[in-house]
Amino acid sequence: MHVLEVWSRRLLLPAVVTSLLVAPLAGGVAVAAEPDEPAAGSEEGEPPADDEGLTSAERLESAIRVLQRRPVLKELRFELALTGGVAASDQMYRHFSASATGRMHVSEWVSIGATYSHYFSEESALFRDVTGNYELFPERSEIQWYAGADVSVVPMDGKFVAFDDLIVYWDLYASIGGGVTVTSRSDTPKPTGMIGVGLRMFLAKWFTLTFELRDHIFVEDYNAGSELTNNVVGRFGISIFIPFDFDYSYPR
Amino acid sequence: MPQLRRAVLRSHRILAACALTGVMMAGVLAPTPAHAENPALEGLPPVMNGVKLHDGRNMVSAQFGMTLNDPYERNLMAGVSWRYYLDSWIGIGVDLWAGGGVSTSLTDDINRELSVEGGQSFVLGTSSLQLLANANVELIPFVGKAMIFGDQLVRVDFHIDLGVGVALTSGSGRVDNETSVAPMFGVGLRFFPNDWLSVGIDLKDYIVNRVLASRKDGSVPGASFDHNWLLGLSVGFFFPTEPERDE
Repeated sequence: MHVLEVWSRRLLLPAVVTSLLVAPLAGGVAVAAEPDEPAAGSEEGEPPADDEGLTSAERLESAIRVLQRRPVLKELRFELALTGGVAASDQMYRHFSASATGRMHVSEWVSIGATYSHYFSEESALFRDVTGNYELFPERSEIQWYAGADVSVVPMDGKFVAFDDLIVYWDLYASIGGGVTVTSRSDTPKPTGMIGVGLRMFLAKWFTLTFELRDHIFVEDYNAGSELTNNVVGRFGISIFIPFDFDYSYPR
Repeated sequence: MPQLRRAVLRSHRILAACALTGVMMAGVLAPTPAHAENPALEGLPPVMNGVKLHDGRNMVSAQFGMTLNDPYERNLMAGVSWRYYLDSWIGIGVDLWAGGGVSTSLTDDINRELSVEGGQSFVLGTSSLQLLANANVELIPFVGKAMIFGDQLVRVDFHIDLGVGVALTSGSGRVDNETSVAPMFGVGLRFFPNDWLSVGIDLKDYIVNRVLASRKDGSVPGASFDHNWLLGLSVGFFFPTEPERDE
């Protein structure tokens, strides 16, 4: 007998019980874990409207929604993200950043984080063109550091299969928060708003590759007047989840 | 002795770094949890009854985009693209973009600063992208499924585009129109709300040989290859509309 058939029979009762208990709480997960083929009834997984002619076993089969466990749980785990980045918005300078973010996941969907970013700046070729070709000297504003806090939510998660072989779980998160930025123009921290999006690809239960795009918005004071500045930074790095492992819990 | 102590400290640091790297690599190389924890899945393919979103299908898409980080002219582009997927992980096709440029704030600042008050106004000569046409190879290393707010299932792919083509640039002032070979590299995500429709976001780098701007004295420097980062949104339609499924 095929191993899948054996295991499907062994798992049938626990699956029925589990699905009945958990489905009301996690309907979305149930849908996420379904195989690619449509349910017997319809594409939405509803039981067939017309089930005449079906045996009781077939009717049961069409009604059962098997829940798979989420491969990674984040709730009540601490995430440490270490990233390097490059700022894209200021063309007069090349801003590189090194950042550390600590993030507490209060649920699977919501986390609260704090970030420190240190910037390393150098003049760009465009700066030299503008000063050399046009004899114009832009006012300098080199970003030095940013510190802030944010709230992140996960609107989308899923799984990739890489080259039909390796399954990688991922989630996409959106962040909003605020903090302070210090630039070379003044030591006074400038209030800064932050919005961003990020993507985590879980290579292990406790280890992810992390991509982020963040826009830090603050008002810079130039001699010619104040100007709203968007410091858009793309980041790439790793995240480590602590504790490294987790336990699944069930309603009963 | 201080040198020895420094050497020992350095070796300890290297050892610690190696250990940390080793632990990380061990975690990274470990089997994915889904396979490791469910014996019923041992030896089975990672995807069963998969929907063949790409294999043997054509995609025609409308796309809109703008270039990022332009020093003198920002380019707004619209276009169409076609793909034919030879397999689940590779496709071939063509992209066609047309558009024009608008002055950046830097160009406005230069024009304002160099214009003589009460005298002749200075107008910087610049170039913008007029047409981009290229043939592509598209690689799809990742395909998968995603849940939006834990409720709505969409399929998704991550793709890499490699291509080569031509770029026509439009000059202003003393900068001439030019034609350039344009290699292209890009990455993108494509979401499938259903089996025949996709919504995509792409970031492509077109490398174009052109003069970006004239100098203060009106002379024109030599053309050089520069990056043109094009951020695009697309809506794609797949044919045939019904994909095949893995057996």
